[in-house]
Amino acid sequence: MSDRESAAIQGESAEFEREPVPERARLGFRSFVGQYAGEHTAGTELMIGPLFVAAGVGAKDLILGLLIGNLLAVLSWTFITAPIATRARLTLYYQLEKIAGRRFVVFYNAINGIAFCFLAGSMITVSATAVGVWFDLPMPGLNDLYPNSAGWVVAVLALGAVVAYVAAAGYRVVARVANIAAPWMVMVFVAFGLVGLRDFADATGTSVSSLADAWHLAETVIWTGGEPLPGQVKFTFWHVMVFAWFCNMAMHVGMSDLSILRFARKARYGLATATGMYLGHFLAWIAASILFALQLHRDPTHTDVLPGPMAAGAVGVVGLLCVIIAGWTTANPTIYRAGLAFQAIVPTVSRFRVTFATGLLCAVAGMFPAIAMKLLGFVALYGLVLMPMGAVVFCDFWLLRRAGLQAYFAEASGTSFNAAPAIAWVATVVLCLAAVNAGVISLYFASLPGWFVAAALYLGFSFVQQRRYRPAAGGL
Amino acid sequence: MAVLARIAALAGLALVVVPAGLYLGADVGKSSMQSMMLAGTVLWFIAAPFWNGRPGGD
Repeated sequence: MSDRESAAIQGESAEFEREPVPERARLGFRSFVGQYAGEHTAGTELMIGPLFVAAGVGAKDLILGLLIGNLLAVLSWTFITAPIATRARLTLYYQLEKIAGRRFVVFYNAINGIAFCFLAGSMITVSATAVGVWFDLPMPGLNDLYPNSAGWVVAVLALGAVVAYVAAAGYRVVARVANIAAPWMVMVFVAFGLVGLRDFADATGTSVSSLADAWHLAETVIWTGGEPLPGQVKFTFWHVMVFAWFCNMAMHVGMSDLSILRFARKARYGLATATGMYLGHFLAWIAASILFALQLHRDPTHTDVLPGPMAAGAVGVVGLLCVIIAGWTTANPTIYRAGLAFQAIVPTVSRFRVTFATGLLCAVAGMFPAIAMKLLGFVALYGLVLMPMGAVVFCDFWLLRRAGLQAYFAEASGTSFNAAPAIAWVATVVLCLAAVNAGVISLYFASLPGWFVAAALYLGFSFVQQRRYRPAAGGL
Repeated sequence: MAVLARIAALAGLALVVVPAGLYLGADVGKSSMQSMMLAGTVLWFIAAPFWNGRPGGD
């Protein structure tokens, strides 16, 4: 992908932020193949894969759950996000401004920015586990909430400060490094899996000379099912499938990727997300989980999920480089995006200062291992919180006019705060979290009914709100 | 230049993943595999930026 294409689809350019993407700026299928493959083979995959093992998942449940869940994710991008993206060709933020008003978007940006900070913090945590190997630092355990040593704090803060500065000052350089590193990282992840299988065969005295042998090893030693590790939720096929589907919920059903797919010439380019899903969220998760299962097999009391030591044990220095680069290159755009979200709130402060401060905030979040060690739950919560606005955009685009209501209501009525989407959003999140807390539904599944709740609330409140509204002739 | 860079970059990628396959088949030891992977990594990061003049390619 060229720099111009990369800049365009990553939203670096100020072009087209408040207008539809014109024909001349639209991109072909291959641009999205590269973009999604790189974005979803990230440092966090090295945490998520092991956490499946910690959750006591069985081999069949894992493989089938990932195959189907990732397919559902690809279909969500293709049939929910891309059709709106290629028709409206607007960023999510601009569409939300038209629907909900400027003041609402500032509030949404704040929530989005905070979520990005925690996500970037977990990526810095992942990279710091590799730095910890070099400096022989005491590192956090699976159930640690707080930093457990001064060395760990210094390592995370130092790494975080570097990442923050680069995100603020040299974003494009790291974006180029990320583009170059992506194919190499995929190969290193493949190597993790192959080496893990060999080491498993050696540790168990079995031979792996065919797929049948590998599957036997997988079922009987690697992903044996059974009880999860203490403090972890038990994962079944349904957990794996829904997790894989909703892992990027904020991006597909939540519509964040309107900002990326608005550059696609055709809606079917949403299928390009399959590269990210099946390289990053299938192959990389499986490879990383093999390494953790091997660690547990060798020492069942060694339950710490530390990507750095696991990678180093498998492929040496290359593994450590992979962990650092994977965490760094994915934390960088996340910090950049969080900085942009916060800058919308304080537009008078320079982007450098806002992004650097955001990066430092991420580094502080990264000091707390609870975020990375509970990444499965955090990712589910992140999707749940941002999902309702995707339902609002979907209903506003496809259903409101058919129901005789005014779409893009804030723009049409001139209001800076439309209460209907705001109430739908807050009420959906509160209802879902209350249901989770009451034990009615698991956090991992709550987003599915939540989407329909958000849609129904938005349609209902829009109907009540617009009963006396008369759109101007020739309106939207 | 671009063709040479592409060949070198692909060779680098192969040097990262093929030794791991050979290790799975017990054809090489772990330290040899790790050395070859490191050499492949260095080769990739030197050659890939020159690949077709477009860092990272498509």
